[in-house]
Amino acid sequence: MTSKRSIRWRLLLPGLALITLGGCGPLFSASPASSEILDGPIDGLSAGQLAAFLAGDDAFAEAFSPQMGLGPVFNERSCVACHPGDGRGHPSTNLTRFGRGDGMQPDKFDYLIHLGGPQLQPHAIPGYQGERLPASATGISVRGGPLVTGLGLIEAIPDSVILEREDPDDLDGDGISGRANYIAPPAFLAPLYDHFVRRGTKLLGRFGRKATAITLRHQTANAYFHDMGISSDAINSDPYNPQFGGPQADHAADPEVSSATLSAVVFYLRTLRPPERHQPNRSDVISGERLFIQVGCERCHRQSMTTGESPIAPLANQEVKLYSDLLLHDMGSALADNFPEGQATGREWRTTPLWGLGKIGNLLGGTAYYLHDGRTTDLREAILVHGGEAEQARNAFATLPSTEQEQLLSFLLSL
Amino acid sequence: MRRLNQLFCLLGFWASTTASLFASAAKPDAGQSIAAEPARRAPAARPMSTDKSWIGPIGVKRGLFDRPYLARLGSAVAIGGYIDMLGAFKQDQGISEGWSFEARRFNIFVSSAIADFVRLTSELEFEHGTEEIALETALVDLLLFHGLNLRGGILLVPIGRFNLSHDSPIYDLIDRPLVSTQIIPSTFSDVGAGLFGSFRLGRKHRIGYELYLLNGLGDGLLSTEGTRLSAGRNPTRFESDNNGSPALSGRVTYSTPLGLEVAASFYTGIYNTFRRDGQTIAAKQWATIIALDAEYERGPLVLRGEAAFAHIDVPEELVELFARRQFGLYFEGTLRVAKGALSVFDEAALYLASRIDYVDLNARRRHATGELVGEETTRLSVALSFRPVPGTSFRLVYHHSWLNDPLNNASRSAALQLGLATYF
Repeated sequence: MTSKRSIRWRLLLPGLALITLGGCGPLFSASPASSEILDGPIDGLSAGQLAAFLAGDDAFAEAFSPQMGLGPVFNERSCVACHPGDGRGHPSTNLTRFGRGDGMQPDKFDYLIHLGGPQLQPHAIPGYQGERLPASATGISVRGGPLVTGLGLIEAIPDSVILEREDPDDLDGDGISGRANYIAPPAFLAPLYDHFVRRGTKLLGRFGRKATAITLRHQTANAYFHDMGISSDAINSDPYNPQFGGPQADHAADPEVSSATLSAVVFYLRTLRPPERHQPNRSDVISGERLFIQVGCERCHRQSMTTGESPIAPLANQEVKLYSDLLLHDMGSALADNFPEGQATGREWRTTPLWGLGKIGNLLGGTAYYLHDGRTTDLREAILVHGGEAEQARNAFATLPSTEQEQLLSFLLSL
Repeated sequence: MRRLNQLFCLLGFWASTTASLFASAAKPDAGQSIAAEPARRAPAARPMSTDKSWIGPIGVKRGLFDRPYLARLGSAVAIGGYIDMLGAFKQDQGISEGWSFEARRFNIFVSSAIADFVRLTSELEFEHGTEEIALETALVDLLLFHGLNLRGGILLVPIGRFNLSHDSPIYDLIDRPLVSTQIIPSTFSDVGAGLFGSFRLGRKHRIGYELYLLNGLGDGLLSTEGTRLSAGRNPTRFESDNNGSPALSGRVTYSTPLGLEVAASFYTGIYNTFRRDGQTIAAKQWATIIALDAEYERGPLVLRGEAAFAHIDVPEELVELFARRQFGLYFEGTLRVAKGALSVFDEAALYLASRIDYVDLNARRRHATGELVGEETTRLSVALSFRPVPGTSFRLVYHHSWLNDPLNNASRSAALQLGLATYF
């Protein structure tokens, strides 16, 4: 038998070790504060809607294999790869779109479909070759995945509310001429809401860096197809592959995701909660918000819009503080990509919603990357690279005293 | 700063645990756990033979031929096995699904001494009830000399000690070491053939070896989750090689009379299907694992450790997405703190165990922006194990993990487990 003294001795130091361990933090992991992260459902969903949300969450995170239909050429293997934590993508997951021609003349631009355009899929499943950027490409647009939270609220904003601020000919003379991007709807897109404003056969685009997607279903089906090479009921083929002269079949029969999966992801995106403000009542944040309006940022980064009716009750008649007008603006040569989409020229971008800006770094390992291609980690630099219609506001910001600039930055990081 | 703080915490914990273990080990004790001593020394009071000599050389301590059931019948055929079940409360980033029971494994062993120089052993595994049924081992040995024997069949790939000695009742912790599941894909068995044997160095030292040709890992290694060697265990590998190029695996063990055993092992082979119908359809891609392991046993103390490094060729089109290098290690200590305290169970003993795990599934890979890709896990585990008899363990385990995802976002998870594992 082991002596009692020996037992005490043997238990003593491991006991101390446990105390040491306890001192390292809580024995069970704690949840991060909701104001530090982006994921989670919008408040007010029913139990059934929450179950659908979680099913969509699983589908959003699902990574595809060649056996599941990935590729044969693709950018990433899952939705979440480009939208980690439902936030913006890391620059290492940036995608490239390309074409040839004058970026200011969308109707004459050649998207080089026969060379794999309009999107470069550099990765390939084993046995296939990834695409390389054709030497003839002149319009090259590198862009990262945007954050995807609050999209259901954006979708529920009536077209008429967005168009309130449209001023394509700058009739009010303020130097801002936001305009809508009207997109030809694909065959699979049955209009769901009666607030669509039509221009001929085209509908108002609102999602994507250049507002080329009309609804979340449109955006999601495109992402499955272009980014992962996954076919669906909506787009029932693989991307054109110039190596084979056609949409070469991969290892899986089409459609590679069911309509249920596509709908689940759409529902998930639709019901993700909007970003929660971080310390909005701090004095420098309040001062920064005033300066944001004063220097003219708010002319494009419109503070809020109000949703209309929605079949999902928590989305209906809500004030949406997205800090975007969802319209196209000429952003100047420094941000131009010479790659037109729809009616957006190679100098135009849809105003990026600023909500969630302060959480970007939390989901990218602590480093926030700004602008459509993540070219800078310096928020001040991101502002100063604005041009075109934003030049006035940019200059006004640049002439602010440094303390006021800091206040404005604090406001942005509180979003 | 957060990582530094974690490091200090872990070092503090590990140092105090190790100090305790060494302090206790200074005075060797006659009693042993199943973890500390093979069951071949089971008490004579048990109504069964303790003679396992009929089965031949044991090879790895606590391995296939050192299991307690082999002493059961004292004849040419033995049937045994083990069961491993648990209940657990897990929490990941503050979110828990609550308490859940798990029937993790029910394994059946059958061994036979067909002749003095021919033996067979096999293991059939039922994981999670009948969710996964696998023939883990089915091999035949032709015993020629101490230094040279032949082996063929479905065998355990000799990469890392844990893969060769992984029965749940051996250990006082419940989950397997991360390096032994995420880098070395334990349980890693494969069909093949080769040689094994041992040599004495002087009177007390011994060198053992194993060397086999195998079908090897398959295309699934580049999985939906990233580079995962465990996903390369193609379920059809027992039927045929996916590329007609056998993999090679070997292990050299050095044993000292002081209770220390150290070993180096390797696995290397082409994993992808590079030809079909005689046509070359892809370049050959190799997967190689190198492992070092050690076990030290003295009195009531057992210390174990294992480190493994993997290098995986990745096609040019996928190098931005899949890891080419992976690394991991673990250290574990088990200490018997009491024995024979209960009159009902005269063999009963109480054990303390702890382990530190580390794996990096994207070693030295960088993002386009120059930052290192994450995907690291550090885990600290502590356990209290009660063994009424050496081959049966009731254990309470707590483990806490610090994780970094590929983008270096940090998170934590923790679990409290209550488990039972026993040989039969």
